[in-house]
Amino acid sequence: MSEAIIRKDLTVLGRDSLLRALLAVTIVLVVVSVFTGLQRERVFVKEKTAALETDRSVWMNQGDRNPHSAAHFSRYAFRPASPIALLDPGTGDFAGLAIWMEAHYQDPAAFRRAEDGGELSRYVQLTPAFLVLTVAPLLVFVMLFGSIAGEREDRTLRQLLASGVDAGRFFRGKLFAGLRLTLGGFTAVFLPVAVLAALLTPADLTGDAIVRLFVMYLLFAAYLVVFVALAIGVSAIFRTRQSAFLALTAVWTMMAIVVPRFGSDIATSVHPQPDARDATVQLRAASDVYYRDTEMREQIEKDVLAEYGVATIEELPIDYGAYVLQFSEEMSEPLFDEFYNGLDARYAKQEAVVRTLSLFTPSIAAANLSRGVAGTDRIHQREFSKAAEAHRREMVQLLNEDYMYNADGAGYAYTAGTDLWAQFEDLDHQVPALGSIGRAYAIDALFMLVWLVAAIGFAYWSVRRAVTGEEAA
Amino acid sequence: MSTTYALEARGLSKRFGDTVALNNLDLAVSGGEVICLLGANGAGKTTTINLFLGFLKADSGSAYVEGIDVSKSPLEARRKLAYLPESVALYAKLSGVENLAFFDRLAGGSRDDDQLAALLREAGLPDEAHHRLAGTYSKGMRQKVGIAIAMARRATTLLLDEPLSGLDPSAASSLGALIGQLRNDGSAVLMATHDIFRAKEIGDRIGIMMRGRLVNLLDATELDAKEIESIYLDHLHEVDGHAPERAA
Repeated sequence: MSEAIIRKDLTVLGRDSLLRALLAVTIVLVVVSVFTGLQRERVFVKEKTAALETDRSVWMNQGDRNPHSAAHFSRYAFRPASPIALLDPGTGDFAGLAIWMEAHYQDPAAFRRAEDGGELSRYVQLTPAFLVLTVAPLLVFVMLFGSIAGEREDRTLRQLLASGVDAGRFFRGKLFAGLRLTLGGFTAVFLPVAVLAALLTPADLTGDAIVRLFVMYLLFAAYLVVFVALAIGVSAIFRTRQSAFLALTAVWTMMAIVVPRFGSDIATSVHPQPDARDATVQLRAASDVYYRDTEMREQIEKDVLAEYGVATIEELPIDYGAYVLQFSEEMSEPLFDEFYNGLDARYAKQEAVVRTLSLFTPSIAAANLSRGVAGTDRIHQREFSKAAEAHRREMVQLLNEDYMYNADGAGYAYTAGTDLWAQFEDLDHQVPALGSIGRAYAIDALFMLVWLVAAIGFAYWSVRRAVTGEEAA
Repeated sequence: MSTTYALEARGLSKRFGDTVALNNLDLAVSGGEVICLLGANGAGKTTTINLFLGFLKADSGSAYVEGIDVSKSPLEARRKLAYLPESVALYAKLSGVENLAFFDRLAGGSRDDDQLAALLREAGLPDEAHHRLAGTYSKGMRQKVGIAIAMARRATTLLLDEPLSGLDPSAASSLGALIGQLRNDGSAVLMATHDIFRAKEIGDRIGIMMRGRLVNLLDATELDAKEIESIYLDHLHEVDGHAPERAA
């Protein structure tokens, strides 16, 4: 009996010329978003490859020089490209693509694509994730606003009920018709996009990337199920299509636009972004910590002389200047960690504030999960920054120790060459496996689950209420 | 041994707040019989139909459809019934055949297009209209599709709520003939109407309803329309306490 309702609804919706036009527009938007996403990722990988080669070439061909000078000359670490970033670039455009790995200083990521974008790019990023998370709910509402309200307005609901259709079957028929159309359409669009992404992605397509694509599909599908259920639930509250449409438009505006934006504004008010000048001062202080403490410097000198059993620096079997350089690096490291961990904690607090508003919209949890699955979120960026910093410390230690043990009294005149430079390889940081970051998104996944259950429960309650009301009318 | 009627009301009552919509109705409709409930707006005709449909819950008394207690098994009772409202609601973006196919499937049927077309033809819907969208149908055409739906469901008990209201004389006459045909085929029909002449034309018995009460149940075959009207106005006088205005 539900099947009859499903088939009828699909036929009726299929004859709606407005829906057909909207579907055509959506397909165009999807094609454009995928194309621009592919272009963006291709440009990123191309530029990254070129920059990496240039960087490596410059590093290897820097000639003979003092290793510490080379540590200042230094290299870039480039963020790994996520194979499915084209679906959701997330915070990637704002987070910086590369980190300059120099001595004494942990630099933040640089080269933010958002800074290079035009004014228009600040308004809307037309990405597949944007289309699913923001535009698709509106399409679902436009498609289904009359699902129950239309039956009530046309009095066909009464006709159905008089035919012996009960509320449960009517609800199932309506829900599954909406789901079949929505998920059928979504799958028909997502599958080719996923295959296209897999085939054309300039990044390495790993098993993890395929898992991520599948999880992304499930996430988006669940998200759309929530909106199908909401559409049916709200439609069942009203007796006319017009009222239902207005109500659903208001729901969409709040859930997809206002609350996420409001959340972001509240979060930055409660936990403001750090002042850029303060940050620079703090990082400089961390970098100079050794050099600002004269008493400690004298103590260290005494300790080193005692350790080697000599009376003067000149008698040391190591280059004391290089020793100090490495010692100062190691003194700065916990301070850098403290600064960047604090910064990360601040961003995490901002996210927590926004996440609280998931009580009012499923869009926030879905957007968080989408970025996480796409590998374009804060956590992936943090993992990259940590890997780059570990690599920087390894590089600086390698260079300082070469200087320390091989200078043989030459001091800053000591030089090393290609053999040493070759020991310092490119940063080989891969996008971490999805499973390793899963815990960070447990709350968002829980919110999605709660929304899924609540939306379906609400729809069922609302349809039952409409049926009872129609019988008594 | 008690007789099982197609429709039976025993002491059926319903109030809406202080208003008595139906007061202690006793009524039985057998197969092959048409009973027309005649009365003004608010007389209790539609309330009676809604109680048989299980859309309303009776305050007291019971309604039975083919022996099924509606208050206990409303869905089972509805599945035995066909209901034709004052204006049959069809899906505007489906054709007549598609509307009929939908309600047929809803009732568990699986008729093909030819069988559906035959039913529509039997209900009096012209062939050229079968595949037109129902949104373009006149009220009479929609009522005919409603009859076809009732026939497709093979329901032998029909509840008709002012089905002829607003139809042009020709359409009303042809629908009346269809109802007569269904009665001749053994169906039980309970029809609410405020049209004395159609009630006389279609009904075997005519129940006069006033303010929620069935005040008289007349044998339509023994009276002409004028006599029925006269009786109706007499009852109106009793209820309202004013002299009836009789037709010349």
